[in-house]
Amino acid sequence: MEENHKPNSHDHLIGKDSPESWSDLPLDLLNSIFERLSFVNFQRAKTVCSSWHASSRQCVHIPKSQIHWLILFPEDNENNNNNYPCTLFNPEERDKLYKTQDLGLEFAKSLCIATYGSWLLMQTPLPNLYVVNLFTRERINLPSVESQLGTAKVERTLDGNELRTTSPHGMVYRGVFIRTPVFWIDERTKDYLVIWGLRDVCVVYSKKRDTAWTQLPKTSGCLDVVYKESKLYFLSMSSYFLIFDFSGETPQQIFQCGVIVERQRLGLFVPTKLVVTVTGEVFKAEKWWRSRSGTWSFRVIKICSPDGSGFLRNQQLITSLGEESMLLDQGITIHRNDGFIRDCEESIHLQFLSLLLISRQRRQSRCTTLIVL
Amino acid sequence: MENEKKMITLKSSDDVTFEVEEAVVLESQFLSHLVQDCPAPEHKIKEVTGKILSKVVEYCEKHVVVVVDGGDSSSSSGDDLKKWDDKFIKEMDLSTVYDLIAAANYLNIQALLDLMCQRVADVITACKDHKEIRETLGIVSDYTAEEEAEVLKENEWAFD
Repeated sequence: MEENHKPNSHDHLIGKDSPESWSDLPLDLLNSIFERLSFVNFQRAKTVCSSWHASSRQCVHIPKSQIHWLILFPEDNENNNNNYPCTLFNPEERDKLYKTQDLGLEFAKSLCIATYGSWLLMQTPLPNLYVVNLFTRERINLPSVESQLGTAKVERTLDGNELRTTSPHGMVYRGVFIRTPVFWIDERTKDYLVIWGLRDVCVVYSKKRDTAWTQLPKTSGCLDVVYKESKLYFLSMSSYFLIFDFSGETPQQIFQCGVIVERQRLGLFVPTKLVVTVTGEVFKAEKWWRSRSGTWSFRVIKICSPDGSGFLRNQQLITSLGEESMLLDQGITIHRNDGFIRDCEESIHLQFLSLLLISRQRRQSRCTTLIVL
Repeated sequence: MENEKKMITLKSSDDVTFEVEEAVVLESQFLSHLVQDCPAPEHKIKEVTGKILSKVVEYCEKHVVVVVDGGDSSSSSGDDLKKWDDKFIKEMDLSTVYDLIAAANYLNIQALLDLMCQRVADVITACKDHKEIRETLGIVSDYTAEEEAEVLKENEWAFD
């Protein structure tokens, strides 16, 4: 019996007097040490010796504790000596700043519109889109925004300097307005999916090996989308809600229901976000202005259950999330003990929330966003 | 009869014997298979020395007792266990940690393996740079100066 048991084929004597070297630790054991390191410490450990470096290349580092970097993007002025790194700040290491390698002038001129792990979805001034890994600088160019498969058109104007969007009904708009971008990438296979709203005309997507953007049917009036576990949750300002399943070759619509969407209240615009919970319930979160008290307040209403029943007729107001916390920025909830808020003091928790608020404003300030590693 | 605890003897490579309750042995997946498959009273573990096996037994005995006593795993016994674990690893030198990682892996005791890997991760985290990691763990760099420069450049940003 004993003889057959060789879990890792390192059947040397354990505990003999001359200890093996740490650089000879088998890959799987080294991995279970690496995965307990923070991202930065993992990068340091890689450089210790060649066998650790080689092992680190074979493992996709998914740390058990995540870092929530705050990113300061480079300015696109000429005084940078052609060096455009991002500056990173980890809220848990208060006195330290990190600088990435040079990400190039185009990066500095571009806008980060979504993040996934250490990948950023960047929008160039034209606009075109690409994703780039902040640390490895690996870059994936996405199809030109002009290459649209469907009835909406994006074309260059005659002088070639501008783009214009034409809806299926013949409405012509100046420029290309990229709304509610979301993306997902597999760290190992580099399979990816990028989804965004083309104005309020339709939602388009592109996957690995696609050479164009494909338009999703029935997705006009895009108010918000959330992408989670191969499903796209879509809320339209025309008062309906859809779920698309992206796990197959082509996306399938698997759910539809009506939703009351309040666009305005007392003449003020009501920002509305979708939120998908841990268990797959879907909420909408509305933010509205109370003029009497001079404050913003939030209202969360259930749209549908995981079993697929809609709640159009009797709106359910959500007053408690139980053991979950809502990340409005990402349109999801998480267990309170998971990732984000694990082991954090209350003050840090509040910091995160304020970071989330900052990241919502990145369009204006183009200085910060939040990234989860 | 049911209260009588079945005892099993484990013998290390250098013939140090440990008499333990069966429940203790069951903490190790490898040993529990071994005990089930051949019901001899004594089992020789040829791959592990007495010094390391004594640590393994100490760990398993502590963990088995707490689970039985705690019943619903009350929080105080969980805290006590954590304190015990902390003390257990704090008193251990890194070469013992290395051997215990190998032993826990060989005997398939996940909780012990996790504890030891965490210890090493903590040691690495406490180092300020790669040189200190090398010093602490006694690793001799096998890079040439050129290779080292290249690897460092690749991860330059992490060194601040």
